[in-house]
Amino acid sequence: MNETTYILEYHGITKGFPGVQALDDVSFKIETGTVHALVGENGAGKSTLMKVTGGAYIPEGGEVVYKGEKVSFLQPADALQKGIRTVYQELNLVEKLKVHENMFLGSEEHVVLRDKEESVKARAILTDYGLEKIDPRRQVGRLSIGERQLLEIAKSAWANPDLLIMDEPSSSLSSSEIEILFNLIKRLRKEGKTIIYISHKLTEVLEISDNITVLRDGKHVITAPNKEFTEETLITHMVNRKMGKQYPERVSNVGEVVLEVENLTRAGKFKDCSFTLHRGEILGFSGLMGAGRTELMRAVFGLDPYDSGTIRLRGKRVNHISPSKAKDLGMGFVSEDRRLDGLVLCRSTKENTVLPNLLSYSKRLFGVINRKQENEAVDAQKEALNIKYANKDHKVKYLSGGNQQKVILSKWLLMEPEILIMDEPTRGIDVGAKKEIYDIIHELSLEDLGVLLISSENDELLGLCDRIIVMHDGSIEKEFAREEANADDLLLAAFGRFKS
Amino acid sequence: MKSISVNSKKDRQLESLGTVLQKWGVFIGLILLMLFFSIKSRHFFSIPNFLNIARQTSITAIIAVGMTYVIIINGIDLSVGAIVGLAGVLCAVFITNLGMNPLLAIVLVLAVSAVIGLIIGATVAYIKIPPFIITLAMQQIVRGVAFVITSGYPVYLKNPLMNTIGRGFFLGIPTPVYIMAVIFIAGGFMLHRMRLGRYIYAVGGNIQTARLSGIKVERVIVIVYILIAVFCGISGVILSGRLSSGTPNAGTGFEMDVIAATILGGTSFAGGEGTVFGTLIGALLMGVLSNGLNIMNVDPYIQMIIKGFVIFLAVFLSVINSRKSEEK
Repeated sequence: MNETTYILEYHGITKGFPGVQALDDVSFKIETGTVHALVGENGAGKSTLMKVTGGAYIPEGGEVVYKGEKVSFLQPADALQKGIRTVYQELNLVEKLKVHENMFLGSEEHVVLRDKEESVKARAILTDYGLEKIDPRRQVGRLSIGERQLLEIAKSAWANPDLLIMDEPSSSLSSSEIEILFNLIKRLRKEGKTIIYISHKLTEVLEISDNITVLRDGKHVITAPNKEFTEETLITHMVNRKMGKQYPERVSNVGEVVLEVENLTRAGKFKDCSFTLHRGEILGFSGLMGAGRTELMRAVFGLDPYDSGTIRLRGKRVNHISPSKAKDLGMGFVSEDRRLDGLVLCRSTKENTVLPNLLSYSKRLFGVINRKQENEAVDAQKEALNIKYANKDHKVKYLSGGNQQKVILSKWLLMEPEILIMDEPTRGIDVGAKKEIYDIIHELSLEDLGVLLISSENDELLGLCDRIIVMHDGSIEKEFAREEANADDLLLAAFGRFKS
Repeated sequence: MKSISVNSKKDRQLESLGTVLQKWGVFIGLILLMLFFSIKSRHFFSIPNFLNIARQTSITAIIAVGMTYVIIINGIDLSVGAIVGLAGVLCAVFITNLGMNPLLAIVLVLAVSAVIGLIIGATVAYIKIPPFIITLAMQQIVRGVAFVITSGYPVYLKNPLMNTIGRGFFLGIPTPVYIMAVIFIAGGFMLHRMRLGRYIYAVGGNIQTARLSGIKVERVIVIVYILIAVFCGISGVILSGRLSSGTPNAGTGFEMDVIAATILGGTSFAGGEGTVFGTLIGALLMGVLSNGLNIMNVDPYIQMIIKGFVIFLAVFLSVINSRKSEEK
């Protein structure tokens, strides 16, 4: 009888970040020479676990056993050396270089490059992997996204790792390209390689994998052979039913329509999205990563363009929307990434707080800032939102994540908006601050503020929202009223599998 | 409550390490340098010499105020010296050759400078050509125009108003020093107390946050490049008054002194940080250094090497410093 060997074993892996237990006592094993799929909701801990495996994160507890011996990778290079390679979602190719230059980047064989020789070799490798349609002499920037993704995978496969981790490898592949990918995966498996396959696309997972592990909320739920699952049972395992008392008792205060979005479309991002928002309403947006929620909201706020469709504010059509126009019309936008576009980190808390509102605190003509008014406004916000900092003139980057988030919230609240878009307002902040932000959102809605709330935590949406819209693959899949929404249906709809 | 007090202590330490040492470090450097020259030469420490330094410094220091804005918004302007040259030439041509009223001539010169700034700013903001490239090109174009207008020869400029601006005194202090003082005070007020100043910091610190906050970031960028070009125009007018001529190659190499003064003054090349006061100290440091080395009869070629080292040292220290505070 064939003894089953395990290339990788997780024993009680634990890893926390401020506000979340990303991995909580995770234990399972991955058989050598199999395709092992890893599925779970957004934030279930898949990516964190793979980063632990690849040496990017060091776990706080538990051990990783690789090829029978306990390992502790201190940095990604250690994992690479042991034969573990990861293909990330975001591509790591140099766009200005040609395909073959990218393939051999860092492992060129000659000091004086032999272009011809390299490209012949690259062509042989690509053909071998079924990618003959990619010309090695083409610039990578001229390839389609799908081709780049395949190239990245081929590059990793050619490095001959024992364990290849693929994080959403098919996210931008066409169906014929997915077939190429699957043939490649099957071939690697035949060669005895092990593949960890992370994907939101359950059909593909069921088609290609041998074993499947489901993670939920940082915990291991189940690991079993492929044949024991169907799409429906997988989703059932993934659903997170935790409902804390951390949400305020929702008192509905829905008024007249304030925002109407009709058939908004941007090629490749979202299509035909229509929804309305009322005064005092909290409208939630659920969906998987990449479903187009953020892109839709950015277009509504004028940060990104859209191809067609209309936006109406208080019944009046808005053309050529830009952030400054949106702001003038009473819209605010609390963005997803505090560091990327939420705050000016190198400036003070005060400057950040008043940034969108300076017109109110300065003379219109020359713009001399009234420091007294400005200071009073900032202090009032500090009080109202219970923001903790020692000095409003110190740089905002020294504040904790929760307090930074409150500063962003306060900078929009200062202008007394009628509509506030919030994209993942509680990401990466601790539980106490989360609860405070929930309370603030709830109270604001009672003061007639209309809120568009994007969240990847479905229980957050269920706890706060009057209505929840689920997006799937760029389209609005389903809309739920508060009473009819539940965690199972939200997730089914997010996977495009909801049947009413 | 306890955590707040701990935090504030840490905050204060970080602030003191980062900004204070950077700002006051140059100030201390300036004082040490003055002390050194005072000991080495008895000609250095005297009121007439200090006035001389102030007058020499004023011409580049005025531009450095604009450069502070430009570097705060992550830009650079290499065309400053060329605009100084063209402004001087136009001033002389308008007054001497065309017999124009000198006040009108100056206004026209500043308007031409503003248009050059507008072209640069619009190219950077809307077409998104890197400022290094566009201002390098503009440097050539503007300098070339100055040479074409004058066929390469200086244009004589003798006019009472221009004389007062360039080489006059009021209450024993050179006129250019007054102009410099006005520009520093107004420029500092704008940066630290006015809406535009806040927007400049926000655009430089994080342009995406600024855009998302409803700031018209392109407009801010254009205004900044117009301002520096107008400051160049003012500097060119003063210089032509001082030289009593419009010289097409006046202002050559100014970009070096101006950028050095700004960086010495603690303006961060990473953008979003910097003060007009710091730039003033930086400009004075460069001025004192030249003056002192001249008094000590140091060979001009050696002076170049010394100046280069001073800039290197200042940038080196500021990078080390900011990295330290980053790691905390």
